[in-house]
Amino acid sequence: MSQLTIRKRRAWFWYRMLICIVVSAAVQYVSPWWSLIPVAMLIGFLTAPKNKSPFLAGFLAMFILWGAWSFYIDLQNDSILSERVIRLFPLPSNAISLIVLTGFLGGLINGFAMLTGDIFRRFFLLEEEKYYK
Amino acid sequence: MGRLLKFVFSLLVTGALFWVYQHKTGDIPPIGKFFSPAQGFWHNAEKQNSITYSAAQLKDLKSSVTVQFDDRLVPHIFAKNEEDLYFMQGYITAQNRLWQMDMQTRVASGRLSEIIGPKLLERDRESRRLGLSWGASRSHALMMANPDSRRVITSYCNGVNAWISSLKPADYPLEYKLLDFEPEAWTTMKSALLLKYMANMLTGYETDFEMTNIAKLYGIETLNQLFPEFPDSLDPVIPKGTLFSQSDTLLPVSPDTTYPGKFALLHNPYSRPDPAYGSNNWAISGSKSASGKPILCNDPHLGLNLPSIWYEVQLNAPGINTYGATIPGSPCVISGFNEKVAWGITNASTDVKDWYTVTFKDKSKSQYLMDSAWKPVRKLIEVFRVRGGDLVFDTIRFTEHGPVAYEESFNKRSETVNMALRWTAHDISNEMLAIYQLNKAENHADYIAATNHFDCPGQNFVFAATNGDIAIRHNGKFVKRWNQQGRFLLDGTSSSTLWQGFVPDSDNPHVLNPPQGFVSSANQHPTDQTYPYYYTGSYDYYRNRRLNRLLKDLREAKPADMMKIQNDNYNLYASEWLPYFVALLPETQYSTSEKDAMRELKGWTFFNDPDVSAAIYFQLWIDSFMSKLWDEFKVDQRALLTPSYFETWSYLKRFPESDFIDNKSTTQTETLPFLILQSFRDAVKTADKWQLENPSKQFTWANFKNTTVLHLSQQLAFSVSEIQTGGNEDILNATSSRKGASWRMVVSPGSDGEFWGVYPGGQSGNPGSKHYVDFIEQWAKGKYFQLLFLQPGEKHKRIQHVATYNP
Repeated sequence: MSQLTIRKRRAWFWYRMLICIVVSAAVQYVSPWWSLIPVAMLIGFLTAPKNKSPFLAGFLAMFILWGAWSFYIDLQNDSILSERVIRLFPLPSNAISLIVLTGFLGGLINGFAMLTGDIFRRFFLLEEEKYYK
Repeated sequence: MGRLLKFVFSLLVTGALFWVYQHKTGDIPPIGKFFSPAQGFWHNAEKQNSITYSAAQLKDLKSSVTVQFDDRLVPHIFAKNEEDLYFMQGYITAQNRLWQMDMQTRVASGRLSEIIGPKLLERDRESRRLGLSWGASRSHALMMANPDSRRVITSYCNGVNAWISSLKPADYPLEYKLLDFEPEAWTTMKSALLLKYMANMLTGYETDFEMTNIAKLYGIETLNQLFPEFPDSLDPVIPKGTLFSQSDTLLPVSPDTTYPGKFALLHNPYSRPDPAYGSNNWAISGSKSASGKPILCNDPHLGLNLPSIWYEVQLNAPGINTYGATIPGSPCVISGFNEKVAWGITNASTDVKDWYTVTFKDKSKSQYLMDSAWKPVRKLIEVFRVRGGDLVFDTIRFTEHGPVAYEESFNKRSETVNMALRWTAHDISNEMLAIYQLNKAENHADYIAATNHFDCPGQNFVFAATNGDIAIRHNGKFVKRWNQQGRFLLDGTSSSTLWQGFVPDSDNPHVLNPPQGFVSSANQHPTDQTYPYYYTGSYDYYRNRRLNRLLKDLREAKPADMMKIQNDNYNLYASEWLPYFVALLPETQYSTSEKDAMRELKGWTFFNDPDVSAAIYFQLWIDSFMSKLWDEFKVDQRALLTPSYFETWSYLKRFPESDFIDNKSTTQTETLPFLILQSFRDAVKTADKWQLENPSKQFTWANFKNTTVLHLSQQLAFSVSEIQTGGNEDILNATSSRKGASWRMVVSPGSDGEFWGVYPGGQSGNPGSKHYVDFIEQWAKGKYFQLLFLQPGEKHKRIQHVATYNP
C-alpha cells in the first residue's frame, strides 16, 4: 500500500464526515430528527470505498453537528434552559455536559447508520475492494 | 457470511436505536425527538437578544389588536371590541402557558392516564367519580346560554386554538416533548372545567368522615369540646355587631335523627385538597390611608407551582380597562382592578360538600333505597384511554344526591357503606359571568350584582372604589342547613336529610364602609353567632386576629405599609403557645444543646424570619407535642382528625386534666409537663440531627423549611428550591414548604392610583425563557413590581415590544 493510498483513505474519512454534516444539517432543518438515519446510510453506501472506519466517521459527523448546533443555541440562550434540563440526568450540572451528551446521542445512532450503509455497499463492490487489497 | 452477519448486526442495532430514540420508554422521553437540536428541547431555548413575539395575521380577528409587552412580559392588550380582546387573551396566554392549561384541565377531567399511563388511572377514576366533568358540562350549558359569557369564552377559545394551530411539533412547549404527547384543540368546555378545578381546590376539603368517626369513638359532647363551632375569641369577617338580614323566613326542618348514626368506622377518604389553601384580603378606607383614598390588598395562598397558577394581563377595549391576575385557561381577570374599582378574593372555607350513605337493593346496584321505596339509579359509563394500555371503563352511579363516588368496586371506605356526594361544585352556575361583570364594575352596586353570579367556590370578595367605598362579602351558593347538617355523614335513605334550599344571595354576610375603617378576611368564620343561618366549615384562627390587630392600629397608611403586612412573619400561635410551654416545663437536668435551644427560644420575638433558628425549635416542639397529645387519633387506616393548634389551645385551657393527655400505650400516667418535656427533647434531637445531615447549610428557618416552587410535572429540574423566605402556615406571610402567597397585590384604584404586585414565578411557562422564574427573588424578599396600567395609545418607557395583529 503506497503512502498516497493511505493519505487518500484518511482524506476520504474527513470528506465523508463533512458531507454527512452538511447534508444531514440541511435535511434535519426541514425534516424530523430520524431523517439523519437514511442520510447517513446513503452516505455510507455511496462514499469512501477505502475507508475502514465508517462508524467513527458517522459518529463524529453527528457529534459535531448536534454538538455545535446545541452549543450555538445555548450561547444565544445564556444556558438558561440547558442548566435546567441537565438536572434531569445524573451528570455534572452544567451546559457543556448537556451539549456533549446531545452530541454523543446523535453520534451513536448516526455511526451505526453509516456503518450499515457502508457494509451494504461492500456486497456490491466486493471485487473492486479485493483488487485494491 | 461474516459480512452478512456484520450487516445484519449493524442494521439491527440501528433499528433498535431508532425505536428507542423515537419512543418513550418508562419515564425516559424519546431520545432522538427530545435531543434533536432542530425539534427537541433545544428548540425551546429562547434567544436572549431577539423578540419572540412578532405580529401575525389572525384571520378570526374583526379588526387590528395591539399588544404591548412590558419589561416583565405582561401583555397589555388593546382591542377595538370585546371579541377581539378575549380572542387575544386566549392567544397570548396559550403562547405562554399552553401545557399548563392542558394539564390542569386534564386533572379536573380525569385524563392524566391518557398521557402518563396506567399509574395515574386510579387518580383519574377518582376525579371522574367526584363528578367534576359532570358538573362542568352542566355549568358549561349555562355559560353558553348567556350571551355575555358565551361571547367571552368562545372568543377566548378561538384565540387559544389560533395559537395551537400555528404550532409545528418543534414549537410545542418543552413538557410535551418530555412527556411525548401533542396539544389538542381547546374547547369552551375546558374553560368550564378549569373553574371546577378551582372549585375542587377551594371547596374540596371537608371533614365529614373524620367528624363521624370521632363522634363515634368519643361521643358528640367530647367532639364539641375538641372542635367548638364558635370559639370564644372569634374575630369574624363581618365585624361583630353588624346586623344581618334574613329575607328567607322558611328555616330548614331538622330531621329526627341522632348523630353520628350507625356506621362502622370509616376509612381515610380520597386525597383532598389542602385546607391551608387560604388567603388574606383587606381594604382600608381613606380615613386610614395617607392619600385619603382606599387601598385594597389580596394574597391568595395556594400551592407554589411552576408554571405559576397566575398570569398577569391588562385587558382594554371600549367599555373595559382592567388589570390583574388571570388563571390560564379562563378568560377575564380574577383578582385585580379597573379604573373605578378594585377587588380581591379569599376562600370562604364554608362547607358545601356532603356525603350521603347509599343502600342499593342488590348486587346490580340499579336501585337505591329512599323513604322505604326503591328508586332507579342513573348510570354513567366513563371511558379511560390509558396510554400504553387498553380502554378502561368505569360505571358511575348517580342517586338524587349526586355521584356515588365511594363504592365497593372502587376505594371502598368501609365494609358496608356506599357513599354519594352532594356538592355545589356539581350545580349549574356561571362564575365566568360574575368575573366578567366584576371586571367592568364601576361601583358598589355593580360589585354586588356581579358577585351574585359567583356560586362555587364561595369566596370573601373584598372591594374598594375610587368614590371611597370599601366592602366585603362572604359570597357563594351556601346551603340552608339545619343545625349540624353537613358536619357528619348523612343518611341517604331518607329525604329528610336532603338539602332544603340555599341561603338567598341577599342574606350572604356583607358589610359596606364599617365604622372601623377597614374590611378584612383571612379564611376565618364569616360571622359571629348572630347570623341567622347555620353553617360549618374549616376556618382560620390566627391570621385574621393578627391582621385585624395590625389594621386597627393603622394611621396614614401607604402601600408600603400594606406590603409589610402581607409579608408579616409574626407567629401568633407561637406567641401564645411558647410562654405556656416554658411555664410548664419541669425543673430537671438539661443537656448542652437543650440549654442552647432554650436560650434561643427565650430570646425569640416570635417572628418566623428567614434567618432565625428559634422558629425551628418551636415548630418541632409544637408538632411533637401535638402528635404525643393526640396519639388517640392515630388509628390505622381510619379517618380521624386532630384538633388544630388553636382548638388544642382552647381545649387545654378548659380541660387541663383531660384524659387525652395520658398515653394509653404506656403503663405510667403522662401529665402535661411530662409531654411538654418529652416533646422539647424530641425537638432538640431532631434539630441536632438536621444539622448533622446538612453540614453545608446554615441552621435557619428558611433552610429548614425549604420553600420550593415545584414544576407541575414534579421534576425538580424545572423547579426552584431552598428559597430564602420566612413565614409559615397560620402566619400572615403564609409561606410554608410548598404553599404560600401565590399572588400579592396592593392597589389604590383610580387614574392617579398606585398599583403593586408580584407572584412566585414568571410570565413565561417556558423553562428556556428568562421570564420563567424572574419574579421569585423579588417575591421571596417581600418586594413588589409597579404594575403598568396604561391607557390606549399611551407610551411607556417600560414597554419593550409592541406587536400588532391584523385580521
